Amino acid sequence: MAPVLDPRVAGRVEAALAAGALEIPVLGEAVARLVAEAKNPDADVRRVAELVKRDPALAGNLLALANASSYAGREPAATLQQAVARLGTSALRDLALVVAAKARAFAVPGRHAEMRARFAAAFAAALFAQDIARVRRLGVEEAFLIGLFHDVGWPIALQLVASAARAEGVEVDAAAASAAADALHAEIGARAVASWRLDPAVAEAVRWHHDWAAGGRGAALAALSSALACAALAPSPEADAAVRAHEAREVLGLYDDDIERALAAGPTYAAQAQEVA
Amino acid sequence: MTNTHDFIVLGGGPAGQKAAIQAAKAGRRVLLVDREAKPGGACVRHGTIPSKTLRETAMAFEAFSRKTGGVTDVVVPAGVRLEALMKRLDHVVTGHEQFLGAQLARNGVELWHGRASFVSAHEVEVAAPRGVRRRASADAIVVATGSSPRMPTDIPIDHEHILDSDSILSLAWVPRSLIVLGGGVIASEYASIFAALGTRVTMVDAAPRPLAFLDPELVRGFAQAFERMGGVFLGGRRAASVKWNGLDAVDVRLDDGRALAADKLLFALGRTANLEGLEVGAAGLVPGPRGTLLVDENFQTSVPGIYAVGDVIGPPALAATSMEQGRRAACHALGIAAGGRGDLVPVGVYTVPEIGCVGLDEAAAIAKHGRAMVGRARFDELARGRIAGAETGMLKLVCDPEGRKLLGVHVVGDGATELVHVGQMAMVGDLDVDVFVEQALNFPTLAEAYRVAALDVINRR
Repeated sequence: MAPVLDPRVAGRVEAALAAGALEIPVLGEAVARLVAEAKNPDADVRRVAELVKRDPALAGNLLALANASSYAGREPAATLQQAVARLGTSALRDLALVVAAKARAFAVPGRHAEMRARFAAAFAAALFAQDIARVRRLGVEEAFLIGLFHDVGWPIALQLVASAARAEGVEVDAAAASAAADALHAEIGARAVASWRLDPAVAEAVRWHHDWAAGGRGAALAALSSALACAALAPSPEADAAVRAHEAREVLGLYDDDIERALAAGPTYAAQAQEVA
Repeated sequence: MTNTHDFIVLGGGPAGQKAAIQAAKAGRRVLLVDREAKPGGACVRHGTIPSKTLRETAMAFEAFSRKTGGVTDVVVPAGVRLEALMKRLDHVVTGHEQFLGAQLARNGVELWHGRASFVSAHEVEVAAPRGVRRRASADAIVVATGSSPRMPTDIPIDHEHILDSDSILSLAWVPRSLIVLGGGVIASEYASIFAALGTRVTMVDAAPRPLAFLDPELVRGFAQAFERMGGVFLGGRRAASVKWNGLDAVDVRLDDGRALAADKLLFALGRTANLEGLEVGAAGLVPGPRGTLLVDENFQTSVPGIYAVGDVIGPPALAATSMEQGRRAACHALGIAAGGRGDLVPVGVYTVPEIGCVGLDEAAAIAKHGRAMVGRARFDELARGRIAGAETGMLKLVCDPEGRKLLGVHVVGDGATELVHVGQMAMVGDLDVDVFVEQALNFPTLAEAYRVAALDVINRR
């Protein structure tokens, strides 16, 4: 029998959802301003670097990530300004979101290894989503965020359940909490993305990624990228077969050769995702 | 072997749809194969419909100050999402797809989702996205698989900073500046649309002027309007190198040494016929030197029973032309009279301002008849044109040497793609140019340009 959440905890979670009173992690002022700055075509490198410097933890993690193999240039960036100059505002925004998502959303006490694995899957999905977007001429910037955040609601839902359990003074079984997160994460993730003022299309893709037949191409992109990430990070003939049989391919118009190319990129993206996670 | 169908169409764009509908209306068992889940082709997803939706918004911005006498400036705010300027797009595309789907269903056209390849001259295999394969056969097969932007080997198109015409509308933001490589229809349409949205646009092309296939007077009108919007056309030049600088600009070096930089670059230099994977050799077809399928005047290839229409046979590769090619190919294949005049398909170029023409231009008329009599009407001479603040706009009637029969109509300016149909119908009816003077037209309208231009012709007799 599927694990069931304590009814009092479930009731509190449902009430919070209905009232729109979710505790959604903030990404931090620097990241929020960076998101806004990335929309500004006149953003200049110095101002962006100053913005990031105001959050030392973000700055340190960003610099490390900028020098990770996925983004590194021939010479490592020694200063934040160099990293900003090399990456540009838009890529820096993505990196800042990666750092913030990892530090603030994919951080659930007691579930470190699981969160690390889930974050690696999210990052790998972002890379796959970008590739698919290039093949199908969808928005590349949007695609990265769709992949990165498609499951961001899962850890947030776990936190929400934990918070409700504390308020009710009850212990929650880990399996029951996970089952609740499975059920709620798409809606919670969409609300989180909306609260971070990212593109509404990203929120919609996140909301519908398990019901992508009703959610359009963004949702289908999230679903297929997620399957590709799973196959890359836990390779098996079954996982590859699941990708090949994925019905979202029909919505996206991806044929066998497109899928084989994506599967072939799996080891590279898995390595990059493990490094970033 | 018994055929599975009477008529197979490969490709569900404008050309394929019309071929399929024509054959279905003649009572044939028709199969339409499309690589996308819903038919419509590039026209619906990347081309005509999306770009015209954005253009409608761009035209509203461009026209606001002009039409309100400059009472206030309306500009596109900095940092606006491109998608926000195409709010109606989902509605437009969904509506169009539903209309097409309903039309095909109503006419009993069977739809298969997949990529087709020839097995023989009368049989194709269709592979669905998830690999399921099935075969179909028919005596007549129409290839209408369209075209895709050419992928250059020396320009690193990443669909993020350096884009082609299929990815330009996936841009997140309206760029501050844009370099457009190319001077054809697609290049000119996007260049003028983005210029109207306030983007600083520079067009670069090897030809000395854009839209080189059109009447030079019309192109002059377009070029003047483009420059008034801040656009720059650099003719007679090629890009020697193109690269994203990794930070904030696409850097371009031209073959004359000049350096350009812009937020984004649109590569719009040529398209490639979609023949990849079609295995045309299995049907006995050999693509022409430009990679397109070669056809006769009935759009039949060198293999009897196999027709090719639309972009896959090369220029003009415009939706209206492709539709008519599809219809005519089906009629020929089925032995039905096509009717109408196949030589009078109008051309619509959806630049800002737009261009419409039909029939012979002045140079072609002179080449054919030795002389031509031409009448012109400028929109700023018309009451409606002055009311609407039409700075650009001209209608040109090209007549036979006696100034009687209309040989061509060429229009640039507001409503040009609609206005041209009035002249087209006069040509179909073989009417003398005098009809525009002898018949009352609404006043004030831009159609009055026909009367003014006709009087210009009559005065020259």
